[in-house]
Amino acid sequence: MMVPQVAQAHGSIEGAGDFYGGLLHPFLAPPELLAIIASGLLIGRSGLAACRYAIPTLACAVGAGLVLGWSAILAVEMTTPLALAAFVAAVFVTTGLRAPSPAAVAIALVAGLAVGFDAAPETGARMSALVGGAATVLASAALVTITAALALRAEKHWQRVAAQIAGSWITASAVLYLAFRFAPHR
Amino acid sequence: MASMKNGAAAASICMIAMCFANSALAHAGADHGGGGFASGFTHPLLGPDHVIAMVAVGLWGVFLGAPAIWVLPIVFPLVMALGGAFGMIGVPIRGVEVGIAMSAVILGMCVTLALKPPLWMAAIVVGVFAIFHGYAHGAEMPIASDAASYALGFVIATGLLHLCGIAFGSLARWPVGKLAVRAAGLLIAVAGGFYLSGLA
Repeated sequence: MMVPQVAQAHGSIEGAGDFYGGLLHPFLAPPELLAIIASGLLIGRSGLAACRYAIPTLACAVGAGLVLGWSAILAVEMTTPLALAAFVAAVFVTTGLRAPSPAAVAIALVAGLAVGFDAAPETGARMSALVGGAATVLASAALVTITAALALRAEKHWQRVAAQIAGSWITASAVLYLAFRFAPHR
Repeated sequence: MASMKNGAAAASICMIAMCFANSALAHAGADHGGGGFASGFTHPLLGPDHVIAMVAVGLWGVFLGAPAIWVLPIVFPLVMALGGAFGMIGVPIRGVEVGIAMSAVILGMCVTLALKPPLWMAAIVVGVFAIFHGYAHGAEMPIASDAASYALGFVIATGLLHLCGIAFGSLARWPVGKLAVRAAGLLIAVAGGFYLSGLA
């Protein structure tokens, strides 16, 4: 009471505050979650060299996307780009093909930008946006790193199959969303 | 070995519980109270004809053995998604409900008789039925819904049903388990018959 703060209704997630709201955002927004996990699986299955470049690329792209999204005048729906990024990455994973490092980096760049733009804080306060945005970058980087590490270490047959099944599920989800998005109105 | 037995038993209980968890409605209709992950996740589970057919795919995969046991969980969601896209776009496919009921009958009989056709034949059979199931889900998708979450929900639910079927089917490595699995296949086929005849 002696040092009152600005009375904000909620952060990006009600009751979570700026930091935790930003941290949770990639986990609670299915399109972002799919894009990050699909990218992580692709990066991991593409080898260590791809991991070295693609993971930092994705993290930086999320940051850039957050800045662009926060400063953008118009809100842009990013679910379709997220679904497309997830679809492309997941197709590689499902087929078991190793993507060349440049391709993995390119997909990580697109996915990261889309995630960042989609997760851009809605608050006008710079400090709140900075805290929330930093948390989102942290969460995205952690999630893609963990997923890529698991995919990279998938040496046994059943582990590779599990990665392909995950890729299949993400591909199917993306196909369904894109069909819904572009289907004529029912 | 003991942990594998416990895992298979737990998955079997989960599968049985899911089969009898809700009222027996073939499809609950288009209105699931809005969209979202929960709505998509529960859609396959609220249709017993979906549940038994998905489990039957997993059971049959075990009988077919490698590589079918892991090819089916990879390919099935993709073909089902294609069917779902057809449903959303409005591609005219007749007899979807009959196809869904037939899937339970035929897949159940394949499990009961422990049929082991060539992989390509099994893939065609499963693929055709996947189209019907996907079509039903896609056509019944709530219009005002969070499409991405709904799609993710029902793909995951379908995949988990397969895995339950595979887990239960792993009991077939023992003679008694094999009988149990084939009996489950017979139950699935009979249930499918009830749906086909309109009694359910």
